[in-house]
Amino acid sequence: MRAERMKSMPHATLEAKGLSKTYDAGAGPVTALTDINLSVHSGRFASVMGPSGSGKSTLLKLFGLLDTPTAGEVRLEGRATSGLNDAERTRLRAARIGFVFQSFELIPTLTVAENITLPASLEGRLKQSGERLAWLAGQLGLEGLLNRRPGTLSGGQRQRVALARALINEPALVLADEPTGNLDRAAGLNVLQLLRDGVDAWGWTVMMVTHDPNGAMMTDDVFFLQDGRLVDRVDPHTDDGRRDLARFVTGEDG
Amino acid sequence: MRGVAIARLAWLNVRRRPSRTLAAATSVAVGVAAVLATLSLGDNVQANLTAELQRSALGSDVRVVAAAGERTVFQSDAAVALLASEPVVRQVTTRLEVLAEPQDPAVENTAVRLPGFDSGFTLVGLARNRHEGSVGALAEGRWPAVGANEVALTRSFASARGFAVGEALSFGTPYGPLGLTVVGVLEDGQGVSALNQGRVGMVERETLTEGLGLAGRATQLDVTLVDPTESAVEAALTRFDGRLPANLMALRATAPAGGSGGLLQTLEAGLQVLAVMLVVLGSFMAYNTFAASALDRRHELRLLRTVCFAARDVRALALWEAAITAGAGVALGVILGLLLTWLLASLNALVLGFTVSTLSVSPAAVVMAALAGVLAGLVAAWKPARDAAFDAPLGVTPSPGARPAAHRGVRVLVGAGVGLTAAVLPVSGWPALLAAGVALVALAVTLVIGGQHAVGPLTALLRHRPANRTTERQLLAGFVERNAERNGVAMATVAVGVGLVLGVAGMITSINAEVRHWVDATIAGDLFVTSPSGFPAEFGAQSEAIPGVAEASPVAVRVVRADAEATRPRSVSAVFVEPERYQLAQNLGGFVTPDGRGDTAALARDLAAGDVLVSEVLGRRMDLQTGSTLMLRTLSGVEPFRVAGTVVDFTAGGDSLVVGYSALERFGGGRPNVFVIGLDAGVSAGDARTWLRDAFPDTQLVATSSEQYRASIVAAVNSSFAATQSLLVLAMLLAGLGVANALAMNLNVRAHEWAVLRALGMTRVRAVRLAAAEGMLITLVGIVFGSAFGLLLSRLVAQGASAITGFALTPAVPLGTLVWLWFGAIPLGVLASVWPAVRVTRLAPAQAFDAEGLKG
Repeated sequence: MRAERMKSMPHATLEAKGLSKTYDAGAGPVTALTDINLSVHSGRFASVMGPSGSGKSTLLKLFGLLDTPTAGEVRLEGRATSGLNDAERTRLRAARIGFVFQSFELIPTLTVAENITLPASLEGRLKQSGERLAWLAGQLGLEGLLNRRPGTLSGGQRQRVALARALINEPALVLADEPTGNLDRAAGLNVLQLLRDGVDAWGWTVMMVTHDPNGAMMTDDVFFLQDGRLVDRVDPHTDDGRRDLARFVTGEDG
Repeated sequence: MRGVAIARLAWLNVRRRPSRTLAAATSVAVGVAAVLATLSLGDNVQANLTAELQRSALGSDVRVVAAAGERTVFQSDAAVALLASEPVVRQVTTRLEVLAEPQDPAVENTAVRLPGFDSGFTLVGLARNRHEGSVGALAEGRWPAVGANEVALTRSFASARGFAVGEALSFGTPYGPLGLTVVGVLEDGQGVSALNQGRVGMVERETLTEGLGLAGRATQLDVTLVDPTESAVEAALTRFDGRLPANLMALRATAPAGGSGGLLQTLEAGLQVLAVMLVVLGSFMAYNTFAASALDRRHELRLLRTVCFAARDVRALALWEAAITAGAGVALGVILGLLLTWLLASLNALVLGFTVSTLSVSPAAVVMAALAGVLAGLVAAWKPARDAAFDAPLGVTPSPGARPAAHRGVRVLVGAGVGLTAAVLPVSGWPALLAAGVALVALAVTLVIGGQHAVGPLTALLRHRPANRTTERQLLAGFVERNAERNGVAMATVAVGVGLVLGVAGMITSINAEVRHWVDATIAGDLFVTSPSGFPAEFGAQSEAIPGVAEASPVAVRVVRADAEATRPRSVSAVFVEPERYQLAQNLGGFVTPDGRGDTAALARDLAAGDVLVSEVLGRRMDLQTGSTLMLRTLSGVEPFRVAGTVVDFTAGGDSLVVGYSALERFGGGRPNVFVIGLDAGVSAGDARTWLRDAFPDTQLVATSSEQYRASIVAAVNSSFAATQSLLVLAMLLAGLGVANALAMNLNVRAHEWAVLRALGMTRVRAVRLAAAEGMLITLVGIVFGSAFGLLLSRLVAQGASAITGFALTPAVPLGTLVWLWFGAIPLGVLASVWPAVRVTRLAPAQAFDAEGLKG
C-alpha cells in the first residue's frame, strides 16, 4: 500500500537541499548542520536519529520553519521557503505543519477541545474545525475528554491531545520531537502506533526525532545524523536496514 | 562560616546576572527616588524660597520693617542713626519699596491686584553704590543714575509687558504718578530681581523719595553686621528688638514676610501620604523582579538543595541577594531622587514663580529613603525567598503539607476591617491623622494582598457566554488566571495609584469647592476697582454720585500680629470691610458661616460693634471659638478683641480675620486696597468702568468684573497645587511601570509557552495583541478598583490634611479627574504593555524546542 501511494505522489512533501546551519556561540561560530540533503515524500513516516549534539533539534527547527538556514534550502510541498519573512513563515507553519513536542506543551488553562482547535483558531477556521475535531477525537480515543483540562489527563492522553492538535489543520507535515520521551512504554507504543496507523490509513506525512530504536523501527525511513552530517539513511523494513539500525544504535560503526 | 559562604555565593550570583540585578535594583531605586523626592520637595521649595530671600536681602543680615499693624512706610532717620551707633553694625542702608503700575495708554488693564493673594508690581528705591556686588546684574543697558528719573526693569517683566530700553513710562503709585525712562534690563533671579517674584523695577532711592514726596521715609532698613554668624545675628535681633521703637521690628534678612502658608501646609500633608504609597509601589516592582528571579533559577536552587543546601540556606541566599541588590538600588535611587527633586522643584518654581538655585535634600530624608529602599527590597524578597526554600530537592516530590497555607482570605478580611474601622472613627485633630494613616496603610495592603481575588471574577467574565468564546479570549483568561498573584498585585498597584490620584485630587477639589463657595457666597459686587496710585479720600462718595453706581464699599487687607492664649502668636491677614454694607442683601458681599446657617446679620452687627470674625481655618489653628478673646497689635499696643463668630475666608490661605472698616485707623490706617462697586439694575460693568475712569482721570483705575475677579482668586489658589499635581503624575507613572513590570515578569515566566504558541502559528501581531490585552485588562480592572478605593481615600486624605492644617475639608468627588483617569487608562495600559509586547515579538518560536525538547 505504501509503495502504491509513493508512486502516485508527484513530489516530496519535505526536501532539504544543501542545508547548513552555523551558530555564533560567543567563542566563535559553531556548525550545527553541514550540507544536509534529504527528502520525505507524502504519506511517509520518517525518523531522525543521532547522538546528543548531532544536530537533530536544529534540523527539526529548520524543517518547522522556526529557524532559517545559513546555507541551503528547505522546500515544503515543492515550495521554497528561503525568501519568506516571519509572518509568511508563521502562516505557512500554522496551515501546513503540525508539531508534537516531547513535553506535550498543552496550554493548561484551555480545555482539551480548545487545545486541539488552537491552531485552527489561529488560522481563523475555528467554526469549520468542529467536524475535524470530532473525527480526530474519535480516531485518537479522546471523545470523553474534550471538556477536561490537560492537568487531569495521563501522559499518554496528553500526547494524543497534542497529536490531535498537530493534525487539526490537516497539515502536509507533522514534526514530532521525541513524542514518546516522557511516556511509559505502553503509552509510548500507543502513540507510535497511532502515528503509524495515521500514515498508513490517512496518508499523513510524519518526521519524527527519536532516540528509541524501537520507535525508529516503526518508521519507513531512518536518517542518521552525526556531527551535523547526514551519515546514513536506512529502510528498517529490510534486513539490511534493521542491521544498519542496530549497528548504528550500538555504535559499532564508530 | 557557612553564612559567609552563602553571602559570597550571593555576591557572585548578583554580579554574574547583571541584567537581572539591574532590573531589581532599578525597581528599588524608583521607590527610593520617589520617597526622596517626596520627602525633599517641601524642604526644597522652602530652601529655594529662602535662597531667593537671601539674594533679595542684597547682602544684609538683618532687615528692619514696620511692625505688623503699622504703616509700612516709616520715618527712617532716627532708626538709621540708632542702628548705626550699634557696635555690631557695619552698615545700614534704607530701602523704599512702592507699589506701582506702569501705565500703558494703548492697553486697557483689567487685571486688578488681589489683596491677600497678589503683591503686584513694585518699584524698589535703593542706593546702589551701597549694595555693590549684591544688587544683581544688568542684562542690557545701564544702571539708573542718581538724581535722574530712570528705572531698570527685570528681564521677565520687561519681556512680558513689551517694554524696551529707552522707553518712557508713567507709573501710577499710591503717592501719585511718576515718570521714568527705562535705561536697563536686569538679569532675572539675582539681587533686586529676586524680589517680589521678579515683578520689580529698580530706581535710585532719591528718585523715589524726591519724586513721590517721601523724603526721609523708608519701607525697610538693610542692616549688615560685623559678624554675620548665626549666633551673632540672633544676638543682634534680640538687642535691636529692645532698642527699636514699637512701630518697627527687626527680622532675619532671610525671614519671609508676613502671610500664611496655609495651603502649602495642606499640600505637604498630601505629599507625606503620597510618599508612603510610592514606597509600596516601588516595593511591588522589586517583589516582581525577585519572584521572577527565584522562578527562573528554580532548577538551580533545587540543585543546591540536593547537593548541600538546607531550606534555610536557600532562603538566606535569596535574602542576601536581595540585600545586595537593594543596596545597589539605594545608591541608584539617591541619584535618581536628586534628579527627580530637581525636576519637581523646577516645575513648582515655574508655576509658583520662584527661581531654583539650590538643591536641598536633608540627610534625614536620604537616610529615610535608603532605609525604606532596603526594607522594601527585603520585604519584597521575603516571599520569593520563602517559596524558593520550600522547593524540594531534585527528584523529590514535595509533600502536600510542606508549604504552609497562606490564609490570604483571612488577611484580606482583617486588613479591610481595620482600614474601614479606622476610616470611619469619629475622631478629630491628631487622632484623626493617626486614624487616617492606619486606615490608609491597612487598605492599601489589603488591596495588594487581595488584588488577586479580583482575577477569579475577571476570568469568569472572560469565559462567560460560551457562544462568543474565542480561543484567544480563553488564552487571555488563562494568562490572567495563572499569574493571578502577580496580576492581582499589579491591579492593586494601579488601584493604589488611581486611588492616590483620586484621593489627593479629591482634596484639591474639596479645597477648590470651599474656595469657590467662599468666593461665590461672599463676593457679590458688580465691579472691583483698584488703583495703583491710591484712591482719593472721597472716592466712595464720589463714585456713588455717578448715575448708575448704586454703592461703593472699601475693602482693605493688612497683616496684623495676632495672639491667643492657647497658641503661639502669628501674623495673619486682617480684611477690613464695612459691616453695614457688607451683607449679601446689599449686593456687595457678605459672610458665610461654616455650616451655612449662621446669623450673618448678627455677625455684621457684632463687627460694627468692634468685634472680629475669624476664618474657620484660623479658628482651628488658634483654637478660637465664638466669645474667645484675640489679642491684636494696634497702634495703641496689644488690644483684646472679642471673636464674634467663625466665617469661611481664604484670604492669605485662610490665615485671616475680618475686622470692621472703621477700625482700620487703629491698625495703621491707609487707603483701601479695593472698592467693591454695586451697580443699578441694567447698568453694564463696561459702561460703569468707563464712567469711573472719566470721573477719576488721575487715579489710573483698574476695574474688573465680578466674574473675572472671582476667577482670578480661584486661579491664584489653584497655582499652589503644582507640587501635588506633579507628584500625582509620578504616582500614575509608577503605577504604569508596575503594570509593565508585572507583564514583563509574566512574560519571563511564560516565555516557553509564548514560543509554543508562536510555533503553532500565532503571528507576531496576534502575540502583541494578546500581550497588550493582558496589560489593558490589568490596568482597567485596577482603575475600576482604584476608583472605588480613591473615593474612600479622598475621605482619608481630607481627614488627615484637615487634622494637620485646620482646613475643614469636605471629601469631594473629583469628577474631572475621574473622567481623565478613565480616558487616560487607555494610553497608560498601552504604555505599560509596550515593552512586554516588544519582548514577545523578539521571542523566537524555536525556543519551543529549546526549553524542553532535544538538545542534539
